[in-house]
Amino acid sequence: MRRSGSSVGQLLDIVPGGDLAYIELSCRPNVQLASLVREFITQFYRRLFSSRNEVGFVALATHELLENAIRHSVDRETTIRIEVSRDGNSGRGLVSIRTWNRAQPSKIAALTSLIDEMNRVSDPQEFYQGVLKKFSAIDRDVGLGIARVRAEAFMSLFYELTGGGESNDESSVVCVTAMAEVSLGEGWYEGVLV
Amino acid sequence: MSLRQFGAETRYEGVLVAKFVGNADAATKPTLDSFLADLHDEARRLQVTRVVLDFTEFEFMSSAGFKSFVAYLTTLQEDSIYRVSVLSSDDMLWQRRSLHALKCFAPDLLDVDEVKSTKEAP
Repeated sequence: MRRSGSSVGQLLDIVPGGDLAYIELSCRPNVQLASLVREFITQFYRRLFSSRNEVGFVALATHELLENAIRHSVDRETTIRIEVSRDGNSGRGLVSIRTWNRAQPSKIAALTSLIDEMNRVSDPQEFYQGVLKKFSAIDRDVGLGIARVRAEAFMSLFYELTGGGESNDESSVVCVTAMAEVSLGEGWYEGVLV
Repeated sequence: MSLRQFGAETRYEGVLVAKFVGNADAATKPTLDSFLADLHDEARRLQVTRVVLDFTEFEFMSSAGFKSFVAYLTTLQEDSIYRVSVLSSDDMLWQRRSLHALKCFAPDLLDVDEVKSTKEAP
C-alpha cells in the first residue's frame, strides 16, 4: 500500500475513540448522478455542522472527489464514504470524505503526482492559480477539481493505492481522502443524530 | 430535496446579461461551453464594453463548469474587447471562494458584486 499526506496523523489524533456518524454509498453511477449524491449528502452535513459555510465547502469537496472518481473509473464502480466524528473531550469535529475507484496506471500516476506536489507547496492558493493557468494554456485535464478541494474547501488530501495488478499495465484501486475540522451543531447529541 | 437543472439565457437591454441557474457539472459542460461561445460572439456582434454574468440563481458549479469559465476568460484576455461583471449571491455557498479564484485569474477583466441574502435567518 502506498500512502501520502503529511497531516493525516495530526487530524486523526483529534478523535481517538470519539463518536462517529457516517454514510457510505457504493454505486455504478454516471457523472449526472454526482450532483444528486451531493444534494443528498448536503442534507447530512446540514444536520451536523453549525456553520453553513462549512456545509458549502465540504459539499463542494464531496462533489469534486466523487466526480473525479466516476470520470476515471475503468469499470464505472465507485464507493464514497463520509465520516463525521466528534472528540468526546474537546467537542471538535472532523469530517473525512473517501472515494474508491479502479483506474488505469496513467491516471493514477497523474493523480498521485498532483497530490504529492500539492502537499509540498506552502501556499495552496498560489498552487491553485498555477493549475488554472496550466489549464488555460493546454486545455486538458490538469486536476483542477482536486486542487479546488484544497484551495476552496481548505481540506487536506491524501491517497492510498491497493489491489494493484500484476503488471504495470493493469489497473489499481485508488482511495482519495479529504479531511478537515468542522464545527458541529445541535444536530449532534452524544453521537446520536437528533 | 430537488435538484434544479442547469440553464442559461441572455438578454440585451442596453447591457448584455447572461443569467445562469441550477447546477453545472461534467454532464452539462458541453452545453455551458456552447453557451459561452455564443455569448462571446453576441458580445462582439453588439460591440458591448461590458457583459454581466448573473449568478444569483446559480446553485452549484463543479470544476468541469469552472474550466468552461476559465476557457471563456482566456479567450477574453486574448481579444481584450469587453469586461465582465459577475453578480453573485451569498446564498450560494460555493460562489465566494470560486469567484475569488476567477478574479485572481483574470483581475483586469473580472469584477464581482455580491447580492446579500433577503432570506430571514433560521
